[in-house]
Amino acid sequence: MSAVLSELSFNVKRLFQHSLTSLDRRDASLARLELFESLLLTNLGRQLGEFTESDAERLYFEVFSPFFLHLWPGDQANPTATYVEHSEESKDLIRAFRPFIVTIEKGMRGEDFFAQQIEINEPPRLLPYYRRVLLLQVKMTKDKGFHSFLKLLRFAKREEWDRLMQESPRPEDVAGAGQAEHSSAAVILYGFLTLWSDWSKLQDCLNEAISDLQSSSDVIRFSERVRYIVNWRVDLSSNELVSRLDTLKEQVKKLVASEYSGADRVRVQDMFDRLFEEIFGLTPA
Amino acid sequence: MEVPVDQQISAAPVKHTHVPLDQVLRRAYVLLSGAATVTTAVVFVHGFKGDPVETWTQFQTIIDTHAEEFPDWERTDVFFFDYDSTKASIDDSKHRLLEFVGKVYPSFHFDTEAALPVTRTYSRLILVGHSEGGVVIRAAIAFAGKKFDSDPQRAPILTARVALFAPAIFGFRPTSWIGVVTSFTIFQKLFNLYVAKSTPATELWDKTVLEQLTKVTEHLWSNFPDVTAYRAHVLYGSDEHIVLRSCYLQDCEHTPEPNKDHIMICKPSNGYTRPLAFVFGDCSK
Repeated sequence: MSAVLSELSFNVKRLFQHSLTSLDRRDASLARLELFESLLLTNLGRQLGEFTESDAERLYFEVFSPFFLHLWPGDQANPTATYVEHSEESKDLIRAFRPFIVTIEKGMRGEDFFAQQIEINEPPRLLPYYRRVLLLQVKMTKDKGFHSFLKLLRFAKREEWDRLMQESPRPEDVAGAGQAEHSSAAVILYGFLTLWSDWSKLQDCLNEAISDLQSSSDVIRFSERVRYIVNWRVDLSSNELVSRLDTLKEQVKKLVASEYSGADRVRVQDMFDRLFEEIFGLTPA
Repeated sequence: MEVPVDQQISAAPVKHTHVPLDQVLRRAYVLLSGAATVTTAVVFVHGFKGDPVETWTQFQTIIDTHAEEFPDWERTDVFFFDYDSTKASIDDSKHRLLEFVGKVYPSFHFDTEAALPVTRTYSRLILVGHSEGGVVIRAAIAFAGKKFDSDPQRAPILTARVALFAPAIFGFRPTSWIGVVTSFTIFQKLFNLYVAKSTPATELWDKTVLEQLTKVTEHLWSNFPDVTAYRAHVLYGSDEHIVLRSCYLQDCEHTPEPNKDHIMICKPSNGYTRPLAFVFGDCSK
């Protein structure tokens, strides 16, 4: 088994367990989003030849098939039905992954998990970039501090969020929040900086692919597909989420600028505005 | 304070014999296995302000006292590398390490042969680093990997298993906001800001080296995922407060060891034998 497949396989099994057994509803919900994202990346890997058909089939059988059955409301799973009956859980998925509604419904009907492929003429050339994207995704789903942040970003009630944002963590608290599973401002800032960093790595990887492969139609389609797969984390269609991200940008900018004075402070603030725009501004909705 | 190695191994059944390697590299030494068949060479690389004896004192005896439980060590020669961790650049240290490894693996260079009473041909190499030692190992591997990118002759060091205790691959924990942000992100503009702010020039230099090393290694791995040395096994303690706890995308991050800090993570004892298994073991999370 290749290292990439082993990493993916271990991770999807962990996420599946988490989606079923977590007592925290928000945890389980996040695990479902991450698991569906993993399915889309598995499909892409299968199409590019990173995994064999039988490797992918094994994952579909062991993880994704039971996962889709659990999306039916209550105990009404009925894969032979002509129309899918949606639960709150499957509606959540559709909201986060609107372009992949066909895959979700086919999955729930047990028809074909390997749906909605993109056209790729020379798959091997995209493999190095695919591996980096996949491992970046695995890293994001395994990072406890980042997981805690996403949970708060997406699901915290306004009062909880506002209360946490009143806290004043120290820089070393933020740097050391990678294993934190509790709610705090340090965790939120840790997660935001991780998001910023990972988004910039993702952007670098896709830009490098586009440049190396001379903007071929393959790489453009690949890049677009990857963005559609991972973009749910910075869902710009939610006003609340956009407002929280904006608050965090301002907060980070303010904290760093506070260490400078005069013209330097203004320069720092401008620089952060540009950097945030470069990384988050280009994300398609 | 340095503890004489001869005294440390006298209490244990004599399975490994201490032999100085000053003729090959000043202050380096080896514990030669007394087994009939020796297949593996392990090279230990200490960290910042560390020492080839003191950092690894516990390993030197416990590999013999716990040989029944961890039989891999019986068929292993254990080398202890030294470098000037406080003054030498990572660049210089990596060349020193490459030269040292080249003199012992897969078989002995004539300098080494002259210093030792045996000859060997190993089939397995394991590089073990603590803190800055982890950075030196990764820099050596990246250097060898870049050459391999253009030369089909794969350097033997690229076949190594890499086991890192609390590696400083992302630098030390920052105490300023610009330090925190810079530790997460990879923007040149931010580095420049950080430099302007931090007094010791080395702080910037090291950080730039670390960022470059991360990029190069991740890039090499994405092109050659079968090269085992690009994917390190990483173990931190849950009480790590010295370095930033993180891994490269492709790394195997082992579950943090409870109640161990930066120093004690690589000090096995009767009640803490995990380091013995970690050096040889698979990617158990």
